[in-house]
Amino acid sequence: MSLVFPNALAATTTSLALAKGSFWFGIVCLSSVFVSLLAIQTDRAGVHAWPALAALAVLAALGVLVASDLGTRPAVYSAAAAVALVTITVYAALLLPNLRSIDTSDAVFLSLPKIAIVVFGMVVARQFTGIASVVVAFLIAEVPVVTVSLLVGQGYAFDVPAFSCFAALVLIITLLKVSRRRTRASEPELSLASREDRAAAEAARAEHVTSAMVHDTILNELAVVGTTAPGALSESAKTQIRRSLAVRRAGATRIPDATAAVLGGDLAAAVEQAEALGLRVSVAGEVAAVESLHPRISVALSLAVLQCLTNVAAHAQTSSAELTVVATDDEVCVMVIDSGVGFVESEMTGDRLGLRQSVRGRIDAVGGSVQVWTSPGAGTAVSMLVPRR
Amino acid sequence: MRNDTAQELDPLGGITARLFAIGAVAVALVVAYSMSVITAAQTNNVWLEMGALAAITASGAYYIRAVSPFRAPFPRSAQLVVCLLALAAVVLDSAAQWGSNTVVRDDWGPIALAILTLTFGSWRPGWEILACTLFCAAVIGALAYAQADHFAADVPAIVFAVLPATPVLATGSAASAFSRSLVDTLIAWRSGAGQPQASAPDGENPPVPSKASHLVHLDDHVFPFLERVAGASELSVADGERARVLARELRTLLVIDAERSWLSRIVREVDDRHRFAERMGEAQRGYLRAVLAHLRNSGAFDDGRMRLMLHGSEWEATCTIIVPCRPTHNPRVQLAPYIAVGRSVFGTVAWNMGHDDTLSITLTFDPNAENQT
Repeated sequence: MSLVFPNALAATTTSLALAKGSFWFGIVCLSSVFVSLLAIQTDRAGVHAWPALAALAVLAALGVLVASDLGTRPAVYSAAAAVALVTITVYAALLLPNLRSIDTSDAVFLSLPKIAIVVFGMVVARQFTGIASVVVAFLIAEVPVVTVSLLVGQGYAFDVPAFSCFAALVLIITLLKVSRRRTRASEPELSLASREDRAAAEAARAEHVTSAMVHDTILNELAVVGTTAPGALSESAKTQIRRSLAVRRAGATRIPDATAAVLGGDLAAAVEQAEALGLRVSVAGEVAAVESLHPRISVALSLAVLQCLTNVAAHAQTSSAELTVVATDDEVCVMVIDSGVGFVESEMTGDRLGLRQSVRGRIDAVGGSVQVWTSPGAGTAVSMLVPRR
Repeated sequence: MRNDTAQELDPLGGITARLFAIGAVAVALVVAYSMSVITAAQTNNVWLEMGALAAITASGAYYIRAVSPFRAPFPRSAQLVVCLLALAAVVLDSAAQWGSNTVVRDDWGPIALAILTLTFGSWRPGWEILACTLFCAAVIGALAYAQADHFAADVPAIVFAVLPATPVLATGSAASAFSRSLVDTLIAWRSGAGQPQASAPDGENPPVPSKASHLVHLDDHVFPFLERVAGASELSVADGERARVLARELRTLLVIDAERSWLSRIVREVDDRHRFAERMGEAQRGYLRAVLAHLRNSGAFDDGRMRLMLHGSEWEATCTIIVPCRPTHNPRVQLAPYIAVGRSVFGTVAWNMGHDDTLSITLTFDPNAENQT
């Protein structure tokens, strides 16, 4: 997931949100006039506002139409524009001569429907990048009203609210493009950093796998060569070196399988190898649960168990260890417990790579967790919890 | 009711919106001051009118201050302050004209409030904007209704209540719908539905992370040695010694690589003795990479002398970036998007430019937070 919303989507998302906002703006303007005219119709005898109210209802219906999915079709919004032109003309012709409070073409009962038409133009504009539909909507709203007003002798006045709304919408569309370019300039850098982090995390996981492999195989081979007396090297030692080199050649993604081929890679093999080191291992619990794990997790867990048992054999000064498997629907927990000399984990030197790389590194890499309980003289328990999938 | 805001989900969008907020404040103030002059004949108490102008000015000034990316996100309390100050302007303006107000549509208070309300969509949840709008509209309507007898137009009193409230209702409804639409889209994107490819400068791909030193050592020295040994008929004394040296070197490099955090691989000077960097979430790591890349590439900073310090407790950790700023550069404008985004990722983000032209950015986070995104 990127840190920030991609620029590629920002423009269309904002246009859509502006269209939805504009739609409600227009509906509120029309409703306000509708309620006011209805109040006048109810309160004043002799006023016939019903046709004007019907015209307002038609304008609201046109707003609903252009805001719907149908409104994106050229035929539909063109027809809506034509109907709006006729409706606002009729509305002005009905209203101007009959209401005493209306003096000119900028009267509030005319301004608000005009504003509604202009903002419905913004609704249509959601599918375009330009301001054309807002300009057309403003002309559809203003020209008929001014014409009718002049024809019926009410006169012309510059409609500040309607023009302000039109100008504001044009400004918003224009400024959005300009300002977005400037304020969202950092988006590519932020998005790239997110991807870089994912790549680095992936590389770190692969590195953990490789480090564990190096610890368990290559360091052993170097130790064998370093401690063998000069002369002929046994064929079995050469074979082991070649198999360890093959693990590395397998590549990071196949290292767990390749390592398993060298070291065993299942619990039984881990126990067998520990017993070859002179350790007596008693196994309890649902061992079969380990076999039901994803092969990648199963191999990592078994190799981590092998390292724990190797540590017991090398450092715990005891000849026995317990291996317990506890399984739930979601997780499998394997515990390696010994009653040896124990240690203080915080005082462990940094070069004790077995627990760090071959146990923690491996289990972390498959999404699991490791807990160590130990203290001097009280033995050690290492718990490895891994997910089922 | 959804409490997410567009600004929290897309902090960069909040910076774009800030320009419109500043524009809205400017327009609202021009409307307020010019109309108060034009309608001066209807004003019977100059002090109240001046109070109204002071209130709308305070509202606008507070609004601009609160939408700064350096103070993101815009809180609910800020919206309340802006609205209440603007509403106070409406009330004072009405009081200043009480009894002598003949035309309702030239009252600047409701219009100025409506202009400010229009830009709330980027900052607050839709329901909050709507609630605030309805309250303001009720007050405006009630004020106009109470003055109905003084207005010149011959229409029922209810019309005087509806018409002045219309601008606020219209802009508030629009801002509320705008907010809901943006938040819905952003949440859908965050949940991964139809997630588009994020941008990359000129199609650039993330650089391949550098190889760990023990791997280089393996490839360059250990494997060639073991391959030669596996193919040789005999081991020499030198081979044994060489194997011991290689094992020591390899073990040392394994330890060094295990000790190095992801952060120390991208910044030379890092003090993170308690390994807090490893406890940052994915979004926090990504953000820190972006900030460091920006500081390195902008040219305004001496990135060769950049230092990072991480310390804290089990409950709260602090990451401080310290970098000298080159003379004649003002990093504030360039830093704004990063501070705004940082505030959506870290607990707190603070920045300070010291007297010695050293920029320090301090980020705090919970080292125990689970599922950090």
